[in-house]
Amino acid sequence: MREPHPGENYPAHRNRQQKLQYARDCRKQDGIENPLLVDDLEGTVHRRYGSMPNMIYLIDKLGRVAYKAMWTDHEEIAAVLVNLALADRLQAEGVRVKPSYTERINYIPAEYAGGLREKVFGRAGGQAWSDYNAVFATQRK
Amino acid sequence: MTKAEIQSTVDEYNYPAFTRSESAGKSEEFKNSVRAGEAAPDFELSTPEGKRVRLSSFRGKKHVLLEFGSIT
Repeated sequence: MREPHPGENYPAHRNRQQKLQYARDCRKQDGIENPLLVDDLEGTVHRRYGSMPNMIYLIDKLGRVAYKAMWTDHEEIAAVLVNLALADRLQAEGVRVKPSYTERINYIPAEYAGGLREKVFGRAGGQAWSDYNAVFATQRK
Repeated sequence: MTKAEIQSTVDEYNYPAFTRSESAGKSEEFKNSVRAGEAAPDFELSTPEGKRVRLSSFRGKKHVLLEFGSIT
């Protein structure tokens, strides 16, 4: 996907090689161990799935969306995975399960824990902070 | 799309600075994208090392957690 908060250290992608380098840097700096896939410059997959900067999807074995959230919340995902594992186990035991469609609003702190925003904006560069503050300054009390 | 149109899409999508218009409106786009219970749109993308991975290759085998992110 694109850089939501480009700065002087990591400006907006302009070519494929640059985007690949950002992905490698991100994997190293954040210690990402899961497989990492890089979208095309147009963000085809990112846009197809809804364009949010840190959204998350769980796709079940049948290729269906089992869960989608606008922002990644690891505690909620853990609960969703436990439920999916339970469904797998019950079905393996011959117990019939039925899908219960759910919609909810999940609340997460706007100021992320652990200095996440400081870390991310810090590596992006000062422009990321000034752009962000210009957008949200009027909304803050 | 013509080459110029593709370049225009790339430039617009990869905006040079975060702005209010970028921070608004995407939640509706997200809600209106594929919904729970529907087939996930298939795609094939590469790892930074060039290994191609197709979402549908996991069908019938594994559940897949798909988290979107960036360095900024």
